[in-house]
Amino acid sequence: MRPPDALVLRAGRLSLALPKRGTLVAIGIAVLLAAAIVASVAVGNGRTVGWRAVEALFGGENPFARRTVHTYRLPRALAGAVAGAALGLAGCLTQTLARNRLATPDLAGVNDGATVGVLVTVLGSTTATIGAWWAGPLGAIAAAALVVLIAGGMGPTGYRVLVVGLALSVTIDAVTELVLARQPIDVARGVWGWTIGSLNARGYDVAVPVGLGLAVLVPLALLASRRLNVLRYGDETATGLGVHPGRWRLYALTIAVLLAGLAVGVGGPIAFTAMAAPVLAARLAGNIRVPVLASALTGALLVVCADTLGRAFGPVEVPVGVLAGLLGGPFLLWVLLSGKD
Amino acid sequence: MIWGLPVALVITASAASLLIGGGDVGPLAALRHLTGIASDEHTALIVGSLRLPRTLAALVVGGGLGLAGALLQAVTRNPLAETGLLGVNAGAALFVVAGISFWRLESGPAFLALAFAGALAASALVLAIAGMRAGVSPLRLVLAGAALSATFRGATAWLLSRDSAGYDRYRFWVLGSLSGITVKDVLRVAPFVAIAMATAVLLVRPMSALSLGDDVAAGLGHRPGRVRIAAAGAVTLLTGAAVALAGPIAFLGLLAPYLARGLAGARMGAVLWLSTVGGGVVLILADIGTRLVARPYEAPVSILLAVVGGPVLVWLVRTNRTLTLGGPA
Amino acid sequence: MQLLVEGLSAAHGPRRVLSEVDLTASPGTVTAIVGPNGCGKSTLLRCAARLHRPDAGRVTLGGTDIRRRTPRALARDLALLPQQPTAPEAITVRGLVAHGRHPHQGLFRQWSREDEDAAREALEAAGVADLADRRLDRLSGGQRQRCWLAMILAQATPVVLLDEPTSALDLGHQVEVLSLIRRIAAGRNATVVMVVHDLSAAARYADRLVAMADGRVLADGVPRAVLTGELVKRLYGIEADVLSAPGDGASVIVPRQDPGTDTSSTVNKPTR
Repeated sequence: MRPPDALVLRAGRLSLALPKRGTLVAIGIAVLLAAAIVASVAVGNGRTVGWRAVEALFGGENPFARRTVHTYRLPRALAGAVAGAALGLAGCLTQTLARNRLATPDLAGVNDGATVGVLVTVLGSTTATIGAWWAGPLGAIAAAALVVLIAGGMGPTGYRVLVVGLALSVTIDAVTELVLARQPIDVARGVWGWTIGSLNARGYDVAVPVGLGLAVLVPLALLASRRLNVLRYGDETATGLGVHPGRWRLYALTIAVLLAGLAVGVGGPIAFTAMAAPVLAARLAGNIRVPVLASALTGALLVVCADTLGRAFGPVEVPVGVLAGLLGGPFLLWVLLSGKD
Repeated sequence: MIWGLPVALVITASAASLLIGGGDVGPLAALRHLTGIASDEHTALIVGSLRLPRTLAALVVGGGLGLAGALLQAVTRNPLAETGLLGVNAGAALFVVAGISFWRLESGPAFLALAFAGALAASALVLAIAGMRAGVSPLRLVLAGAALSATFRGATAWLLSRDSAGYDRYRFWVLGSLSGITVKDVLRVAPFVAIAMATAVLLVRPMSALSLGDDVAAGLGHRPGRVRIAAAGAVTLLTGAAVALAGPIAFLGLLAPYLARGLAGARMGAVLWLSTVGGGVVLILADIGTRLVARPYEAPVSILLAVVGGPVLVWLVRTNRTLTLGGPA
Repeated sequence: MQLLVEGLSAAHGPRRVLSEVDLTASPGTVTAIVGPNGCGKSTLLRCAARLHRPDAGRVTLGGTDIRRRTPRALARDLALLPQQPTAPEAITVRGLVAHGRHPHQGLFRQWSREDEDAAREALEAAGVADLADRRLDRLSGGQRQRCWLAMILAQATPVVLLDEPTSALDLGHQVEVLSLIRRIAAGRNATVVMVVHDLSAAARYADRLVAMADGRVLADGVPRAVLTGELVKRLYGIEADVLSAPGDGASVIVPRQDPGTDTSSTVNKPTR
């Protein structure tokens, strides 16, 4: 007997069971993502648009077009892709560990902690501009650590952490809103604009550290994916199969928080990606396994598409966070409703 | 115990709310006015038109949000569900922001009407979509609500990012406050709250059956889909009324059901009742707090709720008596 | 492999549910734990599977304390079927049984020939091979329970713990599942410990009966020797006759009517 939907490869004592549909779906989304990045490069202000930009991307002659594409557009698209991938994967991990589609990394206080981090840099600076990119991640990870500390354990299906996180983020959020209401309007708007999520003027300086983080954390998440599959059976069966539920939940939560924290450093808390990407990925790749890789790729695709669309109409760009919610919502609904059950 | 004591608590809290803070009338003077021993015009004005409306509003908003939270967590079988889940808060915010940025509206009654209309419209859309083609399962309800909330929030953010003056007004509305509410305002939304509470009373039995699973409920002669729609409708009216009166107060709808379940366990009727009363009492106390902590200014009520309620929720969760919902959605 | 429980005490919060329980379960035998609701039998099973931390005493497996082992190593020796196991939505029987092999797998040993053989044998032994590609949630209760047993079989452990494996099944499926459990013990020389409600079923299918009340073991031994009317009274507080089944001689428990609460006797009381 073979596991469902698996391609079994064996060599001596080694054996691999590759998910057929999952792998195909991942490759498909990766191709779409590449296309979306090319499309993203081809969209923008000025004359370097459309085919001219694509030409420049693949080594065209025009030096001005090359500069536009390689110093602004491509870095920005890649920054969006890594942020989206991190958010999608983080969402997949939290939803799986809590067995709850509402569970996203922001429930562990990630977004509100990041906002406080940014707020502090803004209030501390004399120019009222957003400071270093790492302020957000630092705040995010600090908040999540605080949540786990206060919760004092994961609790059944991780609920203790998530509810404590919810309580803490509401508290932080209320204080942040109060501080914003007391600040001069330009400071408040600056911080608020950051909380929407935008990729404006983002490039390799933020994409590279987050990309490196992904390079470490994605393999770690993939390593855990077989345990995550078993965790879906509930604590008792999982223990019976040799998977310590508390330990692996904490492992998954830690990776998710690190990923989401890093992503916040790229474009702020981009709305909805962490929640929608795993749902979409599961629809595409099927329910047999936890769609770890597909969630990351779907998240990247969502963010790159939203950012491209935000720049496609008129000279004023619409922030990626606005479009991620505005378009991601209906898209998720469409996928949800077109399903059979 | 479970029925009498909370009523006493409500009365005590309401009395305290009439006696303390909000205007320069001390508790003793207010007490003399209330008992009819001695009174003057100033005291009558402060107590009658400042403190009374706030107390009523806190009771309606807090009770409404508490009940809505308990209903929603039960009906979605999701302990992470909060009252904004059905798109109510996001819809209200969108309509208010649209009013600010398109028609330059500023008045309280206009905000009230817009917020209520937005809340109803958003929630109706969520329910229509969740119920499309297949029945309303908890998972579909949760996902449809979250998806549409995200859409509305995106639209709100888009409007605000183009309108600096609009954002300036929005950042105060979003804090939520009970000051400036008149008895008339409360009476405007009271019929909707009454309808929703009556619905909740009728829903106690079908909902406790539903907590045993759809099949059991169907076997007992209930229709799970319709029960969910009715409960969601009640949640919408309650949350819509609350957000219209006091702005988006998010935390109460989450806290109150946890408190109620901590006290009453899994008995549906008792949980709904305690959650309603608990929401009302907690909001009245928080509102009294807003008048006291930063005198003569007022702290926003959402801050007080969060600062006081946050640790309470943490404690409830840590003592581990709260996770008595069915399986997660 | 022998499962040995020594001086085990455990509590749920402030409430003591197990007091110094001893138990020995040997290979090739089925041990049934019986007793009234809340007597601690499920907690005993959960302690043995490391789902519940005891306050005192220890559980050893083949001579080593189960607390000294990694979860995975333990899962290769001991399988557990919970009372109400939950499965992810839309999982197929094939997927369920494949997951039974999880403790034997690793990063570069994802589906070996042993995995393949063990899973196939498990499907066949449980009689669910023809259901392999059906969705678990679309099966009947009896079929589903056999699928879960197939997963436990695929785990291929020398010790198997079952928490009320027949609680929601009709008589036919009960017999089917219990016979399957007997075959696990006999055919694989496995140590099987199960919690059962039905005394007669326990008497017929178990080699040993452990009766518990109030967190203590009241009786322990061969069913025919242990199961008496007096024991039933101590366990459940009811009067009962213990008969010998005409077919196979196994003990059958027949509760007597309680004259105090029996309404039919007042209606049909013969006039004197």
